[in-house]
Amino acid sequence: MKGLGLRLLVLALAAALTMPAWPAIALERPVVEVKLLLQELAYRREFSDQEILNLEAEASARIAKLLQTRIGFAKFQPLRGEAVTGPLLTFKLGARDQGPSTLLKEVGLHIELSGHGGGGSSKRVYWLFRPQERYRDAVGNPAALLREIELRIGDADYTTLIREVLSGIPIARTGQMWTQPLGWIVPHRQADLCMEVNSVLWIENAVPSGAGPIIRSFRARAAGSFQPPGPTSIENYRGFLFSEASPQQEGLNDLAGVRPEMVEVRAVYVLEYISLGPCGTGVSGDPLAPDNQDFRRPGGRP
Amino acid sequence: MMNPHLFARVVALILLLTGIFLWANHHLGIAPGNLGWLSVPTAILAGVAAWVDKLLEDPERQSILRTARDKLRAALSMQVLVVLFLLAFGLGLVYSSVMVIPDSNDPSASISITPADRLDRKHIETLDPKEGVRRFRVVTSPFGRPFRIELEGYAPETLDVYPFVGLKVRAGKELRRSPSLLLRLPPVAVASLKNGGKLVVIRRIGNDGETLATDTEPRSAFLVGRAHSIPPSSYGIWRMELQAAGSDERGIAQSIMGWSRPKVLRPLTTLEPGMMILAEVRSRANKRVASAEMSLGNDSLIDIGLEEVFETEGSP
Repeated sequence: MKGLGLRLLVLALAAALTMPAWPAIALERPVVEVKLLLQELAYRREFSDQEILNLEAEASARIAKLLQTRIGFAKFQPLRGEAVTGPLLTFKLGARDQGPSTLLKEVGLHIELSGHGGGGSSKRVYWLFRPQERYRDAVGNPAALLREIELRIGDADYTTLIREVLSGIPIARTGQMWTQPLGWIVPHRQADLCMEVNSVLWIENAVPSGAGPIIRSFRARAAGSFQPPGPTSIENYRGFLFSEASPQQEGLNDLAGVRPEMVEVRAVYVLEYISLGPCGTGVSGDPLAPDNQDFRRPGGRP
Repeated sequence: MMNPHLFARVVALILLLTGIFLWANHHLGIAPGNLGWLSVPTAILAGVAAWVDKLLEDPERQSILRTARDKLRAALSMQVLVVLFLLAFGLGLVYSSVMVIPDSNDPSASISITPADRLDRKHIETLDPKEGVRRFRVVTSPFGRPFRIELEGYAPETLDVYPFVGLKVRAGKELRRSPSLLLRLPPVAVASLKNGGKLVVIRRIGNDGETLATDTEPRSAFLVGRAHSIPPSSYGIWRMELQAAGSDERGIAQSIMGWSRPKVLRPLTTLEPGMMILAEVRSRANKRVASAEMSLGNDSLIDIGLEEVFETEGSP
């Protein structure tokens, strides 16, 4: 019994000594702040200034919660105050541009990304809120309008939103190239991103060349967890999301000839997203998880 | 044989009674047809007199006639006749009437007749055109007295009432029809009414305002004043207006249908040409949604389209 204990202790010490000191590289998902602006004058006139403030804050919180249940590669939280710290996703509830004299207006949500870390996405997405013929309908009280906003956002086409707008948010600014097969390891676990395989990523790299490092971007398909059969020099990436380079891309053959450690992954974006299922639960104990937020108070936490 | 003086006095009395009858006919509306009830007692009296005449002997009959003649002579003395004439003339100088002839197509409406020199003495009644001519007895003066006549649906007028002849007022002639105001609302204002907003029609008096009408029913159009048919030419103008605003055929049809069926609102004060009117739709948050301001002209129907208010404003 004593001999067995000693052997176990020796083995444990040996394992500890031989284990390389890889740094922990798991990243936090990008935090996207969400804000709803009630821009349509016909709607604004129906509410007092205080009601508008409350409604905007409450709607921002509910939209963030809804987005979180559908999209897992970012953390969505309502904008608190005026200070924008990261990417800001703005939902402007306003009329579609149909000329100033139009009597019946179509009202929709104009969604755009701005703020820090918003990437290069300058596109906007428009989601119909109420068609022209509903312009004569009552707006309702703030609670009714909130419910309607929730309903519209719940039914909306997220594919376009991700491709046109959220694809501007980098989910990582680091990563590791891999050659067999050619692809990249993204420092997030698949479950954390709530991302199903076959989601499409856009990887921006600094690739060495005769003219110095040049930027080259490639499409890659999420293929599963990085679990190579033997030990590797990048064991700290084990278990993270592996994305395989999509074939027939310009410059891909050149990349295959470059040593992976020479390639610097600059940013990883999501072009097409397939959800693993209902996301939204967030990381356990995550204070930003929607279930842990108090939406009753504008911008408030429990 | 009747004394010639007595005969003259009886003639004078008959003339006086005729004058009183004519005055009563004109000012009180007592017409021969209205005196039919007198025929029965008159017939009974005549029958009784004829029967008594047959029962009496000549001396008795002569005695009764003499007594009656003496009594009549005593009663119809010159002084009595003069007093009666003076009394009738004096009353005729002071009491007169306003005869109002309503338009049979009008609904029941309130009418007020007020001495222009004593506006606190307002006399209000309800006028039903089915009743026909209506007379209002008034106190006037020998040289006439001005009265302000306000008939619902007509512009108020101040007219003189003279003794004996009185005043005859025909709706639509002496009294001009008051203008009706057709307020057409844009869709955004209708939506606001559906959401708890309200229409307010205000008469501007300098910097002050008098609320004439309010309504919260979500309608596309309101007709303030008397009911008035919409001229067919309006539909063409509205269509052009909507086309200019970029409405499609469906929107045009919806708007015209809504505007052609206005809700009639009775203003607290009859509309008059020259009045400055402000019409607004205010939201449930009391913010201005649509408005129009206008000075009323002489047209019987004034068609105004409220315009959306684009200015932002804070909560009151």
